[in-house]
Amino acid sequence: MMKKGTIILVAPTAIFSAILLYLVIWNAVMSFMNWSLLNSKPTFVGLETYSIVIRTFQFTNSLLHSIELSVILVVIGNILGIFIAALLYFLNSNKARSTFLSIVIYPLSISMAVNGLIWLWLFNIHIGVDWLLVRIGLPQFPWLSSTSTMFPSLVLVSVWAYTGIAALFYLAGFMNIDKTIVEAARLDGTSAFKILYKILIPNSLNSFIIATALLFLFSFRIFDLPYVLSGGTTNIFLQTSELYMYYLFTVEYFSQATAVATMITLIATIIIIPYALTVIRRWIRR
Amino acid sequence: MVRIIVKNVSKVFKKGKVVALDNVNINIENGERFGILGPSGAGKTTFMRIIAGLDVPSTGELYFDDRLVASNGKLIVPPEDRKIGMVFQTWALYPNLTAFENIAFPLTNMKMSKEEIRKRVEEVAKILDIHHVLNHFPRELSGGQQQRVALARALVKDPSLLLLDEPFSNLDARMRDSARALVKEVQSRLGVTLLVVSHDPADIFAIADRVGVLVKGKLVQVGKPEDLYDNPVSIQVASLIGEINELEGKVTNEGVVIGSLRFPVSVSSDRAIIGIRPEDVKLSKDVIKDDSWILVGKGKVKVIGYQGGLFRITITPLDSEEEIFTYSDHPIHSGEEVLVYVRKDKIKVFEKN
Repeated sequence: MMKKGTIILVAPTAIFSAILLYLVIWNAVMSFMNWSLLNSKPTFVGLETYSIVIRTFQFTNSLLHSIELSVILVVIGNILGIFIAALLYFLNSNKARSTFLSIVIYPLSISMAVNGLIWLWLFNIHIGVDWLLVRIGLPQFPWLSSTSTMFPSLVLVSVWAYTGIAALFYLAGFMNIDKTIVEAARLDGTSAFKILYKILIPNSLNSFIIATALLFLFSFRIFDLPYVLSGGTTNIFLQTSELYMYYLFTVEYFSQATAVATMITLIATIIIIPYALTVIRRWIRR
Repeated sequence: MVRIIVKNVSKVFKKGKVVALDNVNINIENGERFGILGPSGAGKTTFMRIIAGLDVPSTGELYFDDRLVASNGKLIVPPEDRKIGMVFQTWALYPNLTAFENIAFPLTNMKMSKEEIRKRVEEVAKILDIHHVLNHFPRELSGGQQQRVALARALVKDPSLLLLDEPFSNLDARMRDSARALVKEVQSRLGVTLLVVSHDPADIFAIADRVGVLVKGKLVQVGKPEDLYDNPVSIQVASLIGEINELEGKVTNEGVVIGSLRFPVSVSSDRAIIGIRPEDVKLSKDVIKDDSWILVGKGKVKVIGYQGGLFRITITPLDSEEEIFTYSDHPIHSGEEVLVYVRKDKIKVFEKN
């Protein structure tokens, strides 16, 4: 007889997985069809939709944006996360630590669409950051108004929004290290910086694993921020794969949208599954 | 190599709600081996952390030789400038570094060449007999080896003061004696001042020249371990520094009476606590003709056990629930009545307050 606990765990997981799997499969099936505004009755066309969509400029352009954003966010998010976590760790007061930590993870607690809106105002050349720059005698920075600074501005906002999660996991990792180890290092005359790179970071491998996984997932599936910052789906300088997929859907190229969605799912799966199988499994094993 | 003067040191936590140390005064002489004994929660670790500089006294002053290192909530000399080697209760080895790197770690913070570091690490590793495991990680070492690596890390930087915080409590019982002997030998070879904190009197007897007993943050007695063993100021000190029978009795003209037992001592209060160490109790079926032992009455054997090659016999006085245990080289069956003798000058009396 199955134990009650097993049923309670398995039943919702099974139902949820079934729905998810159904949608993924339905999505994949539709991507082999020709279904759009111009062809309202889906017909099977094999890989033709894929070959059409892959050859478009927007596809490579948006995929490149997604990959660039993910790589940059994983790298900068980890570095900044470690840096912020270290600053918080070496604070003497518990109160100050929890206050600053709440500030750092605050962007995560509000909707990314709201974060995007806040930054839309901050990037306004008359009333935002530029207002301050002009006041202190510096030149205006074009932010979202110039095609060359648009993408870096998006990167800046995503880093601002998602670094908190890396900082949170690194701080948890640091706090988990036996305090006497750090005290022993202090007695040995070790500088805070050396304590960080010789003791805290090497003993926080789990934090690195989980922070990297989450940063990748958050940045690769990013939608709200570029959508709000570019004011829609069509700005090719800020278009990520998700935006392109949504764009195809809004113009009723349904099969092409599902083909892009399937490819995004595949790429994420190809990266995340081996990662989950190797490192995350090691992490959750007792 | 350093003299430590602790003057009126108190430490409070949580805005005065918890008093960890209460006006502690002690001088620890240069090169002395000093022990701090106390139950858990008595402030032992806080005391040691204040000496190390990891905590600051709320009030009072701390001197190393003539140098004021901390005073009234202010850290004047930080821990890294106090020339302290410390062995933590958990040993606090760096898990990501090999034994060699662990021991070399303090030296890498000084301006020292690679060869010089290698030489010093190997030297201390040889003394502590861990030179064959230097390229192992802490998790690959036995408890005893880990403890010696921690000791080596503390000693390699030539400290003036060696602090040991319950250094043997994580070791197998059979390894503790050799570890204690090693610590004492290394200390006398280097002449470093030693402060050992423990709840185990065996550590104190094996290592310390002098011991201070901490109870609820107060230093209640300081002296040679054997003096404290024989002349404790309270029953609590007596039981901290060794096994003891604790009996509460009524004071009469003939002494303190507990059931059928009568201890011929005089005390001014109504009720008193008699402390008598197990080795100062002798049970016999026949009369003993020896002036150093006095008969205190009859008792009944309650239970008999076996421990360390001796029989541990627990008796109760007739008409009393109190218990007295002692060790004997021959068994006595439970339920039997025996004569209870105690060594004449070893009865400890404490007023019951």
